[in-house]
Amino acid sequence: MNENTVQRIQRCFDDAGVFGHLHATALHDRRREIGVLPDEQVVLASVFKLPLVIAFAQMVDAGEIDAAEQTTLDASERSPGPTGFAAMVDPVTVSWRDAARSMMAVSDNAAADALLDVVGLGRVSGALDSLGARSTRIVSGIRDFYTTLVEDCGSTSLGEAIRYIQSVTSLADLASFDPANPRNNVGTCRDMTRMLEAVWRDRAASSEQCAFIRGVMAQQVWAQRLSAAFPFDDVVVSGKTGTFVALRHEAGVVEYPNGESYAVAVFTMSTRARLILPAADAAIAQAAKLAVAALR
Amino acid sequence: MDLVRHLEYFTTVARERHFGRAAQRLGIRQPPLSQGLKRLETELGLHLCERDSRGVTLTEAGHALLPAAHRVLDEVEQLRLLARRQEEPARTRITVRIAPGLGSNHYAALVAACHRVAPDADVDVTEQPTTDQLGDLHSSRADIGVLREPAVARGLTLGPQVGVVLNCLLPAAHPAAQPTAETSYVRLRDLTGHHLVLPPRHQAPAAYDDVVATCERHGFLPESIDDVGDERLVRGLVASGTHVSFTTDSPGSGNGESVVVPIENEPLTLLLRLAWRGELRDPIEGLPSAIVGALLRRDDADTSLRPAHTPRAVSELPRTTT
Repeated sequence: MNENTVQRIQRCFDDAGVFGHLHATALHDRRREIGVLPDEQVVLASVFKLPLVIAFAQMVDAGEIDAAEQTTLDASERSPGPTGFAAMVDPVTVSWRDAARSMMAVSDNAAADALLDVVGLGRVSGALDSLGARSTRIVSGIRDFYTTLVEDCGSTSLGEAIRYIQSVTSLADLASFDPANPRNNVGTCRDMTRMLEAVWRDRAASSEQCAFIRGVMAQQVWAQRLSAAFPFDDVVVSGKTGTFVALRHEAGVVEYPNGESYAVAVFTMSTRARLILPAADAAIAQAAKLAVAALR
Repeated sequence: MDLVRHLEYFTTVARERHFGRAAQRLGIRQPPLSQGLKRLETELGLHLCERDSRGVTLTEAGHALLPAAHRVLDEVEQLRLLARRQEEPARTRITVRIAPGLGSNHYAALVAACHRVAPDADVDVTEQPTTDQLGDLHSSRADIGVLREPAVARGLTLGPQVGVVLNCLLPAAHPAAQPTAETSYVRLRDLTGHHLVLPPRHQAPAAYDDVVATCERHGFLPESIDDVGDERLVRGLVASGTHVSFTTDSPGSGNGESVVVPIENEPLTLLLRLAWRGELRDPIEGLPSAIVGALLRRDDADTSLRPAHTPRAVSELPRTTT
């Protein structure tokens, strides 16, 4: 049965013209899983915010940071982005936990970099190690990623770099999409479901902090990927997306009212550098739908 | 007994349905033909055909065995071909597979380019959908593939990308097809009210979706979209006046009932990508650039993408204004 599902998932990626990766597992029965290249590393884009929020939660547990403490993010120092504080023009004062919420729910780049500045890459690596996510490597936040991107493209500004990416004929040649490039944040779908399992089983941090992470992930605003596959009022879909030009990802958990729950990670990379590609979003939804149906 | 020869008698008689004509075709007289068939029937312990005044009819057993007889003879023919090839000085065989969508003029230039690059090789150029090409490139059944983008190709060497502009195939009665038309091109929105004929979606699903999206983007929502693979049927549907289609044929190359007209600002492109496995060796290392040259021979093709647009912010991309 799984063999057939794997082929159907592969077909749905081919149909959308994307390279696809998937791993899904039943959290209530870990023996059931399904994968399409689940152990191949992919550049993570904003999915890196998942291990970051886990590291933040562990820091709160260790008493090294007060989640309710207010911080002020000055506009001039904030990382750019289209959502959340990154998109605003005035100084914003916010608690660390709400910054984490903005980072997870709307993929706020400014909140992510502010958090990474206090959490540090060392704690993120430590969190990954503690969860056995050995194929995931986090080496930078958004700010450094953009700096690297501009350098790799030989551009002078981010806008110029993005236009350059859109003009190249082979995305595979770009360092920013190459998982072998040590300057990129990379991970595998299997590592993502492993992290999600730890969060949903209260193993990633204290049960209070794991509940916090589940809560902010359930506030995910983008509904065109995993959520689109399960449009039922009594089914809760929590997730973290990642989007950068050709990359479209989401890692999340689908919970049914009877207690069945499934961790699903889908990573895609399109071969064309179009910023808006509904077919790829729809392929993520369809692949997740097929995977969960096969596991039920 | 000579089974192969007797099977040849059998298949010839089955085809001609007449002993005299079959004997003539085989270049023998009738008696040895009848004798040979009888021996085959004895050998197989079956009656294969009945002779009557009007000719020959196959028995049920004859019908049942005929396909197998053809297969045996095909294999024997293959064997002989292979044997001949062993004797002849080795000729390189170049296999090029091309995604559907190009016109005969492209193919002519392309085959000529292959012959120029490797004059001593047998050149085999065939059309094949992208997904099938990927399999053949991986298994080395093809040397070079010309894939339709977006092609999801793993483990292959990707060569240059070539964009061949698509023109519109219009009914002759369409205002933009008139010799007296104010402009020499048609806008996609001017196609409103027509049905759109496209090559079957399964041949290149993502490319198909891109074409439909581009039509919508430029104000053309077709009455319906019909998937048709046969070029003559496409021409027929367009000639009927209700349908339009897209083609790589040059403007003006219509047949009177359907006319090829350029589309304003060339929004549609047949985007192709050369690919092969590993590294190309002599004599075909120069083939990719020769193929690109052949496809670019006409001035309506280019190797660059459309000029970049100001990106629209989505998800993690900051909005940039310059």
